[in-house]
This record gives sequence, structure tokens and C-alpha cells, in this order.
Amino acid sequence: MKPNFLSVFAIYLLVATTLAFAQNPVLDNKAILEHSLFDITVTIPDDYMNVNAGGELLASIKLINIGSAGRIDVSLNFEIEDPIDNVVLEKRETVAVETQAGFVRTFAISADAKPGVYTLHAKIVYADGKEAGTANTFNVVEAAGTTGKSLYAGPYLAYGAITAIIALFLFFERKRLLFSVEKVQIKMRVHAIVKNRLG
Amino acid sequence: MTRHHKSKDRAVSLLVITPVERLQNEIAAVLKSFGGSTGIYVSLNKTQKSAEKALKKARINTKRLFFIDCTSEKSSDDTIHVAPTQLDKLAYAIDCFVKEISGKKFLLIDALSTLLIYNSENKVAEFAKAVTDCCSQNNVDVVALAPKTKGEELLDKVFNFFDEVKRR
Repeated sequence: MKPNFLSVFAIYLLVATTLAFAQNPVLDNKAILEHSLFDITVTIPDDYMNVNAGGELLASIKLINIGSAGRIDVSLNFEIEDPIDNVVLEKRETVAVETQAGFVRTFAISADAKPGVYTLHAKIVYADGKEAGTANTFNVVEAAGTTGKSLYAGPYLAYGAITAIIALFLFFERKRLLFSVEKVQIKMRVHAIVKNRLG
Repeated sequence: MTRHHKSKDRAVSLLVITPVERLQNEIAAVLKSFGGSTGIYVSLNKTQKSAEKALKKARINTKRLFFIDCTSEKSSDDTIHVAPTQLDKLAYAIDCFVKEISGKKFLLIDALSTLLIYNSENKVAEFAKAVTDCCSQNNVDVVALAPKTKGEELLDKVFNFFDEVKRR
């Protein structure tokens, strides 16, 4: 059987494409990235909305690929700006995203950071240089401790101390408390016996 | 004894030390001396059932006797059960009966020295003081019996809290 022109051309295209992808796999990623559209969100948990200078900020990042199918690597840039818009921290990384990706990142806040409202920017850089980004704010506060959570440790410590005091009181007074309960039982029983017998 | 209880104006506390073989007769004699009065019977030697049986045998009406049984743990409807080690609880149960029963009444403790098996002298002395004080304040006669034994000196600390101590 003699192959016709169309089948030869189809085979040529298939081989050529395969070879091109084999030689330069980035081309695939790049091609997809060029047609990708990402939605990015940054969430800062309540416990980390106030971070001590010298502490650590924790943020949850979510990327949703709504532009194309397939797993691609995207470049992700983080920046933290101080209250007067100076960039005080920069971080870059590449993450693999198929349809969506969620992850948590921590950022060390300098011990010299001045109190105020800071902004965490997260940007995705597309292959063509275009960017998609989001931002969220948090407060840097002057306080002892190393993490944002330490600011909230006070009430927990107070509850813990109260609980411990109550537990100790119950432990040491358990005999007296038990006796008080027994006293009530005895009194009720005596009352019932006397009433039953004497009317 | 009978004359003594009937002639006095205020309550009296009496400790009777008697040989073990005469203990039951003494109990019967004390109860008879109170006639038909209402009484609180703290039983430290016998269970409420056997004490009641012995009293009935001695022709004593037990209908007006309220038992605090310190020997058995079996619960019954008309008796309070207190372990002889729980002197606070025992004193409180006596106090409750004293306050709950209206009119003239007496307290009989059979036999006080038994408490020394389970408790220290000081604890028993403390108990004796609490009970005699409670009875004195509420005009209740107290008769405690103790069998005469070699360890009688253990009762030394208890003597002080009774108006009278009689050896028979």
C-alpha cells in the first residue's frame, strides 16, 4: 500500500513535535504558562495578625490555575513592605501547580522592625513578564516574645493558672468537700429515719 | 442511775467502765433507767440487728431507739452506718440525731474503747469532747460504756470530758 501525502505529513508533524518537546521540555511549560491565568490569594491567620518584632509571620497561599490544564512551574515572589512602603524582605521560589496549590510560608520579621502596619505582597510572574498578585496586611508590634502567637499567650496563661489553682484547691480540699457531701447525705438520712419512726 | 437521771435539771455525761462479761447487762440497765425516752444508740461492738436482738431479749423496747451502726456496712432503712475510723462523720451523725429528735432524749455509746482500736487516743478524745459538748448544749444525757481491760489507761485522755466516771 502506497502512503498518501496527508499521512506522511501527519507522521512528520508528530515526530517533529515529539523531538522539539524532547529537546526543550521548558517549551511545553512556557507554552502552557503563556496561556495560563492564575488566581492567587494570601491569608494571614488571626493568630499572626499581630507579630512581634523579631517574631515570625505565617501566611497561607493558594494558587488556582484557571487558564490551562497541565502541571506547570510558576515563579512566585514575596515582598514585605513596611509602613512607609520600603521593601524589608524579599523571597522568591518556584512552585509546581496543576489545577490548584495551597501551601504555608513563614517569614522572619526583623528584630529591628518598627511597629506599624506592614504589607505582604505575593506575585506570580508569567513567562511574558506579566504579573498577577495579591497582598495582605499585618501589624508588627513591640512586645517580648518571638512569635505572633506569644502576644496571645497572656490570657491562656491566666486561664491555665486559674485552672491549676482550682485543680490544686480541689486536690487539697477533696476530703473536706467529700465530707460536706456526706454531711448532707447523713442529714437527709437522719431526717428521713426520724420522720419515719416518730412521724 | 434512774434516780440520778430523773432528778437532775441539766444533762449529765457518764462514762461507765465495766468488765466485758457485764457489759450487756450494764447497757440494759442504762436503757431501762431512761424509761421510754427516745435514745440514740451508737453500736460499736455489735451490729444493729444483734444489739436490737440482745435488747429485746432483755425486754427493752427498741422502737424509740435510733441506731448508728459502726460495725456493719450493710445498709438498712432505719439505721445510719458509719465506719469506726470516721469519727468526724460519727460525731456529725450524732449531732444530726440530737437536733432532729425533738423532746427529751439520751445518747448511749457502746463501747467507747472500741474506737481506740481504730483511732489514736487524741482522735478519740477529740471525738468524746465533740459529742459531750454537743449533748451538753442540747440538754442530752450521754452514757458511754467501756469494757474494763488491761489497756484501760488508754481512756485517760477521755475521762476529762465526762461529768462522771463509774467503775463497776
